[in-house]
Amino acid sequence: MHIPKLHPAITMHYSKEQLIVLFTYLPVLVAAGMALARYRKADRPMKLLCWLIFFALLIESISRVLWFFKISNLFLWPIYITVEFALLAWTYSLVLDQKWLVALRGWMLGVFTAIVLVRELGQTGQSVWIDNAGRSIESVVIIFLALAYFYKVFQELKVQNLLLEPFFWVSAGLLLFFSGNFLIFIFMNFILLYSKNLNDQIWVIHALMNYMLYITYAIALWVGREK
Amino acid sequence: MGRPGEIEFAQLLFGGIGIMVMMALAVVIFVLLYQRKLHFQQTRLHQMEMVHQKRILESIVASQENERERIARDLHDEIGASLSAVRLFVSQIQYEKSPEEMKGLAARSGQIIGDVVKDVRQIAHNLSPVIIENFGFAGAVKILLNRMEDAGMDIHCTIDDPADVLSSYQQLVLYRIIQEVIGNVVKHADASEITFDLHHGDSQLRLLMSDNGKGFDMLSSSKSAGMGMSTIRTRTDLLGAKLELSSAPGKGTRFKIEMPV
Repeated sequence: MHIPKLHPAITMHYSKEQLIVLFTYLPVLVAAGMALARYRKADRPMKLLCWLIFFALLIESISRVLWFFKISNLFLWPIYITVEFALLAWTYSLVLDQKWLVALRGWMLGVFTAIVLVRELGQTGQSVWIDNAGRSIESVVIIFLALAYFYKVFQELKVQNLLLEPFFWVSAGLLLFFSGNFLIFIFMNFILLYSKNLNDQIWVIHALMNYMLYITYAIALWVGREK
Repeated sequence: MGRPGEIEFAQLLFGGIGIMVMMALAVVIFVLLYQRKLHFQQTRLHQMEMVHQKRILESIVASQENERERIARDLHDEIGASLSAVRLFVSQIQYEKSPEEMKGLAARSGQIIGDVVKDVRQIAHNLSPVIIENFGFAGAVKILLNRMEDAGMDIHCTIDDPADVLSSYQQLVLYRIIQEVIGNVVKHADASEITFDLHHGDSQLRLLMSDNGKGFDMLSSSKSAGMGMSTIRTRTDLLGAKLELSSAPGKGTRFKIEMPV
């Protein structure tokens, strides 16, 4: 009797670090489900957030499949960070409603894409190298936009309960995510060559930050359901 | 991870990550708590402003009603009675046979009508801001104070004409306040002396009016909260001025108004 063999990717043992990283798919899935349910009634900034979540789910799905089949998925990194940057910059230009940001967002995206492309094309032959410059620049810009949102909240004082404001949760999530990961993004290539243990640990921290980020996205979509 | 250098680097890295996460969390918590407090304060301020605006509006309406009542009373008491007397004298003339009696009645009617004309002019002056247009603010106030002097009061007056620093509207409102205060002195104070000082400088205008009348107990009297005072307070608010009122039984009354110019 022929017993079909399971794919080695399914039967092999995974370390707890690998499992933590693997299961970051779940909060993205939950957030995507919430985004699908809320999309139709969402306003424009929330629709852009939904698109970000859908895109993240797509990238995570492709990345997982490639990982299972032991194919390099690093080429997805620059695509992901460029689209994420574009969607977040556009969303915040609508939320902050500042003329200078609306005028600048196109330029910001153009310059960011150019930097990422130049860095990617310049790294031929380094198969495990990840562009940390683009991610670090993205971190600084998004931290600034999140703080700008909080500043706007103080200036306008329109909202009685911030916990019911979707973009409070989005900004809080992004601020925590990019602040927590900033040093990881700066040192990740160095650590990759320096120590395997340390490398595994920093990606666990990154995964935990990712859990937190997508949970805050899901909360933002939940509290925004009345708007 | 065994090398000492590696451990140190790991400690530094995780410490740095921890600090950055803590700082971000502190910012989020601060924003959440402080924004709520600021919003609450702003709402309360807005509510207080609404209540204040409502009170001013009520005061203005009540003040207008008060003015109408005063005009009606002046017309009835002073003009109405006099014209009734004139009518009586004029009707009496047709029944008189003696020319002297007729002349006497005509003379008395003429005198009463002369008084009525003066009273009407007085009422009109009180109503109209024309007096300020014709005589200027300082001139209009001096006319008001001269009437008090004619009625037997001692007036001590120093006026720094504020025509350069006040708009026409502000001059009118300030004039009405002075009119109201002097009216109160005449009606209630039993004073023989009024001191009037109006100065401006250092971006401030200061008005001080005091009398040596019988004064009143500010804590228990209705005078400090009555209609006249309410009108004065409303007008002071309209000017953005600060009003200080002090009085005590037997010690006279003192009004001080300060406003930025």
